[in-house]
Amino acid sequence: MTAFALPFLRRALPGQLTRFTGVLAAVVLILAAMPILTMIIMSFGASDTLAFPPPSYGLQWYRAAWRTFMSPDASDVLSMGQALGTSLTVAFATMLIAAAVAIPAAYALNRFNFPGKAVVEQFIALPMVYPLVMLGISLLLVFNYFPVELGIFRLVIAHVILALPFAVKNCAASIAGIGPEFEEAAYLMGARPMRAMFDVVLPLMRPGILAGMLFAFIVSFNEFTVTFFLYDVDTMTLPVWLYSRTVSSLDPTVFSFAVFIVLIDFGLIWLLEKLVGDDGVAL
Amino acid sequence: MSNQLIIENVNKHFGAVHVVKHVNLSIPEGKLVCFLGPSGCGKTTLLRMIAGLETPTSGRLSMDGKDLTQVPACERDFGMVFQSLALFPHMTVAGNIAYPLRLRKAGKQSQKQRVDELLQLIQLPHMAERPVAQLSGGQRQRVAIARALASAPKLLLLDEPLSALDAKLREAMQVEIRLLQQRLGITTIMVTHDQREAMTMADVIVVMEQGQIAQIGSPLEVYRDPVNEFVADFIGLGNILPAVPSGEQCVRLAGGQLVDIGGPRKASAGQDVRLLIRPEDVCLKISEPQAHMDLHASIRNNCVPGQVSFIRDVGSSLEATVDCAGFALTVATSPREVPGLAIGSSVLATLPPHACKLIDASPGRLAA
Repeated sequence: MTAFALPFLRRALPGQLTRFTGVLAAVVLILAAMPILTMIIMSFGASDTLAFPPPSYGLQWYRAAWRTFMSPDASDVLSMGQALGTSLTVAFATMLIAAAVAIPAAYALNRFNFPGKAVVEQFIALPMVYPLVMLGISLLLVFNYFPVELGIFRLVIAHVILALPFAVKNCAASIAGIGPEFEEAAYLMGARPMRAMFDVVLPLMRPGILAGMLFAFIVSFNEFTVTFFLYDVDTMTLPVWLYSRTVSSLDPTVFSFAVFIVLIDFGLIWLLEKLVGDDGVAL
Repeated sequence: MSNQLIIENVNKHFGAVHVVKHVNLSIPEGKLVCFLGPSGCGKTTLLRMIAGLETPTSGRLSMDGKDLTQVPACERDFGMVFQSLALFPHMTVAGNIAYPLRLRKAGKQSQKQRVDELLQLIQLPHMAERPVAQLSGGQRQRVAIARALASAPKLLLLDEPLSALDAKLREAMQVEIRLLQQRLGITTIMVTHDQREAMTMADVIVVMEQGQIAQIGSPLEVYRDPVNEFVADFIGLGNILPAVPSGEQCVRLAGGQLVDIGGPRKASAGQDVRLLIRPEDVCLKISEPQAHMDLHASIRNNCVPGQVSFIRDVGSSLEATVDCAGFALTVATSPREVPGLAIGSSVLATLPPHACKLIDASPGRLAA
């Protein structure tokens, strides 16, 4: 085995590695872009079916999408505008709450040693590996057991759980790069710990905090699986609304809407790169 | 000369590790005191306890008669320059220097005035609006010092502040900081592992070893009269030769050479002693090869024959290693003193009795 494998490795690694990895990267990138490309092509189709590729092209779905957006007809359970509003509200609340939890958590995990620290770290990362369907069902059971009606906060709580690993990891990456001597210098100059936190630590953590908040926003804005268990007619988010459209009418209008959502996501990611640059982003 | 800061029987444990052991120390007003020792000797922990960044496990710190032990760092009103400087990268030079003033709620006008004053002091006027990231190493250094001085603190603490600079700049900054400290007359404590830096800057050197104070003294005292082998070895270059006492005022070296040490031995020196002689105190003379052979003839006048095995001639000074019977001597001299000295030369090394010191072989003795 080794005798066969080694000459191959020796040949492949130094010279041809670049070409091989280049081809591999191109394939992966094409696969990654495929759904978005398909979606864009479909949105410009001009037939009534979901055939791919579309037999003819036109802007009719964009016109239909615009009509739906502006004046939803009676058949729509909920207008897209309302779903968009819910999505943005939930995403915004998720972003703020996740940041409010993640910043002190990341700080404490980095600066202090306490019993159960490893357990806390594991718990924060747990939602990344948790089966989303199970998470949705569990949360549904818990929320129904609650005596109070949480309304939109059902979604916010679920989304915060899902967004927290990203927010904490980004904040943790930035606090790890800030030595304790910055705070200590502030103490020596007369700053109380809280003051030093606001004057020195938070400004230095800014890239990580912003990255974490944007990740939280994007995670919430695109979340479907868990939301699907928890929404009701008043709190339908955009992804759930899109899904309900495909199930009910199967019209390619959804692709036009999806293009719109992807544009928003691209805008957010662009903003992320712009705000943070290369350093500070951790996934 | 009054003592400003008094450290009484201070101990610090980190878990099971006893980092600072029973330290008693008085810092005289207006002086620059240097904590000197190898890494891990507890000097930085001691400084951090003075700063209020660590709490002593036991013991007491007091300043001008007031107990300081439980006072948080932000209320001590000390200035500190950190090893990494810890300049705030999100603030300008002026923003950094003005930060302690801002915390004291000084008016905008008086802040600006003080910043300008300090920028003059560190010879960096017109730098106020520069971001810290655009400064050179030496400029950052000065800004960090200006920031530490901004609130006119009672005590200035320097934690290896020059370690990030290259050798030449470091030497220049040593002189600059020392002159500034003398001009302002501010009591200063500096931590360093560089004995040359300590000797350049300090009024008093506190040599630390394994959490304990090994010796306290002026730079020359510590250099000329080290209390033990550890201090002798740490401060400057030294020839520390195993010796056995022989008679009233003589010792016998490893090769059997009898050396007169110029006076009666100290009572404390036991059987296991070391002879310390600084390289610059040894006199070197090129000798005839046959003199080398006659070991006993040369014992007179503390002359030890040997052969040069290594020469470092840097122009201004010359350092030679001389292999003698049983030990090697490092000799520092001027190239003009011994023309024609080469590797392999037979030489006579004279150990002047007044320059020979007997010290304890056992390290770790506590200073009284």
